[in-house]
Amino acid sequence: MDLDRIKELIELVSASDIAEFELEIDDFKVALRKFSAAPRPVPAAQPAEAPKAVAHEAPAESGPTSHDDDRFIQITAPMVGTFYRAPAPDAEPYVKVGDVVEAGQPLCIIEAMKLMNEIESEVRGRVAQILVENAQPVEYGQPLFVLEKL
Amino acid sequence: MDTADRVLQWLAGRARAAVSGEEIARALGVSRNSVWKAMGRLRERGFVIEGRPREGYRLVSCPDVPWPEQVAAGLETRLLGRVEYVPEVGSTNELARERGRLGAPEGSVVVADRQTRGRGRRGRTWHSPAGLGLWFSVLLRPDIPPRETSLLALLSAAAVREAVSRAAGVEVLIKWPNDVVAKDGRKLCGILVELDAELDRVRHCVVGIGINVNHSASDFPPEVAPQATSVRLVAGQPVARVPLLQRILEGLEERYITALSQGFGPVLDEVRRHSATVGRPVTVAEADGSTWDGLALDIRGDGALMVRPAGGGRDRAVYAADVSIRSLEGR
Repeated sequence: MDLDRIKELIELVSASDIAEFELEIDDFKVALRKFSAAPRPVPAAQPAEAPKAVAHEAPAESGPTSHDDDRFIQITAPMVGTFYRAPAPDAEPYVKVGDVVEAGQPLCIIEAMKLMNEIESEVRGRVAQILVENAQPVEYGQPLFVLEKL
Repeated sequence: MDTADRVLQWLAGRARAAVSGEEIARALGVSRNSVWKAMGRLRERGFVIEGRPREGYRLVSCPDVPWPEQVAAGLETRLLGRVEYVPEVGSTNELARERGRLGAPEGSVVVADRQTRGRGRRGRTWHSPAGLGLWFSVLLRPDIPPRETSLLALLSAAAVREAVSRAAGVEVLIKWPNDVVAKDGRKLCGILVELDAELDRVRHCVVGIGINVNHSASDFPPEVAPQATSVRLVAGQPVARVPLLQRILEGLEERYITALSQGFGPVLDEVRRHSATVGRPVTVAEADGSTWDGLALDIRGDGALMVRPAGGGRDRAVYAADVSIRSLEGR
């Protein structure tokens, strides 16, 4: 990874609402932390009025030269509920940062009113970031994962 | 369909009038001997068939087992009720999800006499022994946004509540979100809905329903016995499973069709009217292990339970948590 790539990454993360970002490729590792980032407020449980976009690619505001923004994709919550990283409390998490996932592979569960929604990856990719702690409430449209498309 | 099933169909079609073995043999194009053998097999399966010389055979009663032909007879639904019966399965939800992925039509129902890995939320087990309960899953393909599907869990509870109340002759209630409980708070039905959705479209939704029907108190494992009850224990007498399943499927279909055309308003009103939770002091156990007390105020239009925290602060909307009703504890 060269300096330009890292600059692009910084711009990408700055333009997003990601607070922290880590990327590891072979023996290279970069960790970005937004200085201005306040701790994420606990989401007030509010229904449907959240942003309409269910999933969107990371914002492409890092300059006209970049084509790499397409490499990252956010997975957002399709409903209000509780976010679980594993199918049961004593089970292994579905995915960890760095895992390669196939399209259609489950990433997490969101529960609302005993409805279990297994969220699948839309693409083949590497889990770059997990944005929510296990067993925390999430809002409709809230980003859950950043995947690097492969 | 084997000869026994064909013979059964023939007998059932004769409105329980006697019919001679020779007539059946001729109609089905089999030998009289194989009709006789079929009668033996049907009796082994629990059918009571009277056989009299000169008069012939008469179907007296059917076993109370949710076989597809039994459920279909007298079932008044248009959408729900393509029943697949399995004597034993890991979990009917798993099987129904598999059927759904392979394209099974909306309204398909998977029923098992026994589940070996019956599931509740978050990996909890649901004890599902043979002969005593109704363990089934209904496959739906609603054309609604995924975020609204959690209301199907409440809708299913409303259908079960009404059918159980009628079968038992005793009012039972809904404990938010979707447990059906006796007046004393003991649980007799659990519902687990599993969604398979794209970003903005539901592929399918499996409503898993487990009802303790004819359990005696001693049929429950000790760890659940204090909180569990059955339709039989509530009614004070055994309750037939097949008609109960039929009434639930009918009630589910009616509410489902109404919800798709008019929204979930009517069914939410019904859930509020028969809620064991609303108006009660509750303890909310959050997914992360923390707990807090409050007063359950209402069920909001999106299905969330509105709770006023005992310690003050704004009313909170609860979407996924274990909510126990404090006044029903420590019976």
